[in-house]
Amino acid sequence: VMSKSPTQQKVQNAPIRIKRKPRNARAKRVMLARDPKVREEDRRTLFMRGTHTTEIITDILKNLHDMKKPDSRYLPRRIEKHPFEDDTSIEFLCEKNESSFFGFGSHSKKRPNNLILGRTFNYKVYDMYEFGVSNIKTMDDFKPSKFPNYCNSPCVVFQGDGFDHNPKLVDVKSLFLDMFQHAPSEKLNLTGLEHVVVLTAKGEKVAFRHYGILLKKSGSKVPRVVLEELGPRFDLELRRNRSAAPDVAREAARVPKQQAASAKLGKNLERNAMGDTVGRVHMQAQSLDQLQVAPPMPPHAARARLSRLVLMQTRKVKGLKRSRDAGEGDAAKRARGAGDESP
Amino acid sequence: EMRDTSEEQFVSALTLIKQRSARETGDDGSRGPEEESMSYDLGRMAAFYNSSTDSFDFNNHQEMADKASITVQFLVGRLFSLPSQPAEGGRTVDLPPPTTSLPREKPVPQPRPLTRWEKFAKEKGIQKKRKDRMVYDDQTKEWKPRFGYKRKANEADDLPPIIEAGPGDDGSESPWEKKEKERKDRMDKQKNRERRNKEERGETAHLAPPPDAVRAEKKAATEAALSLARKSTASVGKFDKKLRGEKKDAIKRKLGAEQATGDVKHEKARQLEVLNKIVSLDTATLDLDKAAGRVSSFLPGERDGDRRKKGKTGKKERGTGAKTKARKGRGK
Repeated sequence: VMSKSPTQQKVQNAPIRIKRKPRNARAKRVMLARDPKVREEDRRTLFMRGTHTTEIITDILKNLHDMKKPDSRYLPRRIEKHPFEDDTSIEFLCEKNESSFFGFGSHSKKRPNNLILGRTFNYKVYDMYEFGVSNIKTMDDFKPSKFPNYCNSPCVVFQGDGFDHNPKLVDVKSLFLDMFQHAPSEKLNLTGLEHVVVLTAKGEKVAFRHYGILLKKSGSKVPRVVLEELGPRFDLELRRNRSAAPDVAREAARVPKQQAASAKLGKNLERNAMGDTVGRVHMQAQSLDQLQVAPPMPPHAARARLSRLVLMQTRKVKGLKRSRDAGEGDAAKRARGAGDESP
Repeated sequence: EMRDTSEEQFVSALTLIKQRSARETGDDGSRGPEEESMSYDLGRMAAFYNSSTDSFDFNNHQEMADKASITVQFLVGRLFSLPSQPAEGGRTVDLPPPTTSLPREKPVPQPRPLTRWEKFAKEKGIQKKRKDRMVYDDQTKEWKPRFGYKRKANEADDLPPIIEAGPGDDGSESPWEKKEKERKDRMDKQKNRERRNKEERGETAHLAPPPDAVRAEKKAATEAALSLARKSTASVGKFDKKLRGEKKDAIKRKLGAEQATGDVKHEKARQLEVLNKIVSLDTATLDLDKAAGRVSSFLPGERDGDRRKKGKTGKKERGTGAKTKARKGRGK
């Protein structure tokens, strides 16, 4: 949490963040909610406009905001600083709004209908990509028969080998995969397959299409897919980009140990169907002929040992009458007299 | 996947696609994407068609939708073939863990270091026991709360108002004071332990400089902390008396020193600066063409053809004389 006290300005080491001690329970809850978590849930998006925008680019921003609701915020205020020139504004706003995705729309003669999409890591810009938006049709212009439910996470489809071969598009693919979906879950209700975002790469251009999925009866278990365009529809042409620095990328890619551990119990351990944790004990090879076995006990000693064990077990069961065997005699007395410790 | 074609109820999605494609386009669907070019990340409900897209026309929206529907069909086919259980409205499938890794939002949280007690408890195998709210009172044979209203009476905690002196008591020590003192001691010790834990965790004071700070940074941090503490009074340092040799921090004012004083010269210059931005007097020119047009518009009887026309290159100023200069306020 960034401190605004005069200390921050006076002390030379600026990157240090002073953690404010929460003064009440509500502040503490907010602070804990913002702490890093082992498993990250839905990330928020922040949409902003630059000093100059066109109606089209504003509509696109609003459409994307609608798609990402409720984990999205659209700032009514305009942002003066352009992210590629000065990212302090973006970083500050993303921190205050607790968002790790951002979209920035602007328009200038040099860069008409400009859209910047990016991510942050630890409240600093991780990567961002600047696109020129063209071939635009907003959600209002489409009249689909069925709308996907609120907060339904779309499928994402990438078409084109550019997403594999072009290093910039590889990063763009990562961004889009991250940005348009919710956090991955373990189960999917098949009726919840309601919409899909299709991204097609051709050269340096990427087509963004958003379709609703209609599942029709087919002859088999797998239904027939019919797509209905929902909008928005636009083509993106990559302009500038800033990829993640390799050391930051490495840190962001770390998987917490707890997450990895919950997947498997650990070496040698398994869970069987009963829910028991089962492990294996690996013995060295033993030759049964060479086994060292203790000499057999004389029968009276063996019987005494057995009766001692039986007595200790029965003593634990309340109200159980002890059967007095003729053979038990001394051994039983000795056992009883020895005390009541468990075997 | 090889399927027994005699089982007519099981038709692969690919067959369906090929059939539909053949029906609609009249060709064998070889233009459409093949399943071999597809790869998936079912954990993220994502599909990747890794083939050339040169034939895609971004402006042909029907074609784009058709091609997309083929890819989506493949994805849906894969999702439907995952292991599933019945659920409301249909079935629920178990998604596999995602295969593509995406960057995190925040760094991995560091596990909190164990405190002294936690280490000891772990070593000894001591488990935390959760205390119940209700406790059985043997005396009244009732369940009573452990604390609060109508709680179970505890002889050790609630001393009676009259206590008989034991053989060793000579009246110098009050048992109530003694109990209170013991309680205070316990609390102080606990506070010390907590403070020690905090230090061992490395949590420093709010305004302390980091351990690797340079001397100048430490000095700056001390001064900053001092200035903050100095004004931490009820009136935020406004009415506090100064100590000898102490300098109070500058009062925050709304206007800067320049703006607050009445400096006529500078004020004039500033106002002209503002005016220049709106109407640039220095580079102001008189376009006779326009001026004439404006004048003629309210003079009766003037027609367009009669207006005196001057070339566009003739940007002439009315006058460069002293009077004009004075009027325009030039020179300052």
